[in-house]
Amino acid sequence: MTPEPPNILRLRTDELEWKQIDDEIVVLDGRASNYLSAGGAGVILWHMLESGATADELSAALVDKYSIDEASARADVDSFLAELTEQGLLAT
Amino acid sequence: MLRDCGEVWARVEELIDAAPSTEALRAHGVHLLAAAVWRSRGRTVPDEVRADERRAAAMAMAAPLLLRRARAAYPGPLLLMKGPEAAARYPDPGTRYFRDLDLLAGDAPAAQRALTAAGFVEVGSPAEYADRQHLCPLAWPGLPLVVELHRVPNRPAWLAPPPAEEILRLAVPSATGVDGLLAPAPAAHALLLAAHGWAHKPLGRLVDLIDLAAVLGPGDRALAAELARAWGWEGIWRVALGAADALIGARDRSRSLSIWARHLEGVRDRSVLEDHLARVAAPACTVSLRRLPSALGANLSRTVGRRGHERWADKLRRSRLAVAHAFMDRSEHERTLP
Repeated sequence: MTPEPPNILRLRTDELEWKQIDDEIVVLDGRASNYLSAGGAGVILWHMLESGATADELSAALVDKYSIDEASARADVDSFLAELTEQGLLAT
Repeated sequence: MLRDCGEVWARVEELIDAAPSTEALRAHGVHLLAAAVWRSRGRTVPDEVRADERRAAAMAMAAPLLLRRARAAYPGPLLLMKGPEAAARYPDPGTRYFRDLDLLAGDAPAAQRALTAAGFVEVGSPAEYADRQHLCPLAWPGLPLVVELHRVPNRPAWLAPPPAEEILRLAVPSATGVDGLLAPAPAAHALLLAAHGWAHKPLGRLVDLIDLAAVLGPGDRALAAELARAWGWEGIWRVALGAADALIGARDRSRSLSIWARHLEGVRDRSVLEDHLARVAAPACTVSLRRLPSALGANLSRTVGRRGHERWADKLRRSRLAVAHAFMDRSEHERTLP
């Protein structure tokens, strides 16, 4: 039996524009005509999701960057992903 | 001359360094360029400029979206002028701020109807734009930019309108990369940028000359001169190009730069008095002697007259403030107006 492929999460590419200004990302969701911004850990996660990453990889990046425990990192990642999902910003 | 030339942007950097304040940089429309320069040197960008960068980013991101929607809505020729089209010639387009999208349409009223049918909404009263160069601005709900569909490109009142058909005939694909969107040929675009700058602040802002320099390629000068002659715009073109060459191209100092555009070299804001004089005298070096009296008279009348439906009491109050603030920076004066 082959192992199940990891669930790669990725930002959608259609009508989604963003620009980084110092430590902040400004995002335009063209479908919803809505602006969002992300700072701090959100910037790291955003860039990883641009090229595609699993939730485990996202958590590990936060552990590495902020020296926090895995559970806290996972909670931050889940919260961020839930927000992106609610806004429809992740590729399906 | 200037496009694709690193020396130009090095010169722009020198001018930015010469500016006395962030306010002056903003008044000249180059504060975002300054932020990029400061950041490249490891300098902290002031909070108020970072806020401007966020606003500019919001506008810049909305632009291609709106342009694609406009392009899809109207099947006729659609040509982008100024703002993002000039910005596309900058090393980083995000450093050129703009607030609207100026489109020249083959049939502007038909394009206005097509865009409103596609979901754009008119901002303001269409009747107010009956005699203007563009129709009532159009917005897409939720997005900050407006689209202005032009009957003719903007220009100072004393200049003849440029032939829209010729501009459309010479059009090239837009540098923004939006499929099917056109832009004026660089030579024509440089002329339109010069005229637009003169219509608002004659030789007033550094960004207008940088736009001209960014758009005009080395091989475009002959055609630009030819078009200027054909449109009756030789005077304005000679002065604007001379100022851009002297200021950014490191050529000999032009007379206009010495006389009434000295503020550009120091990247300082014009005083209220200088600004009024420049606006009244603007036709002096750009129209023939025969047409000069009527052009000066019309300009003086516009400068001392009321704005739109302004009440006389408000006009007099504004005039008193202008006299009291004669030597104050123009942008500072404008902040004191109600």
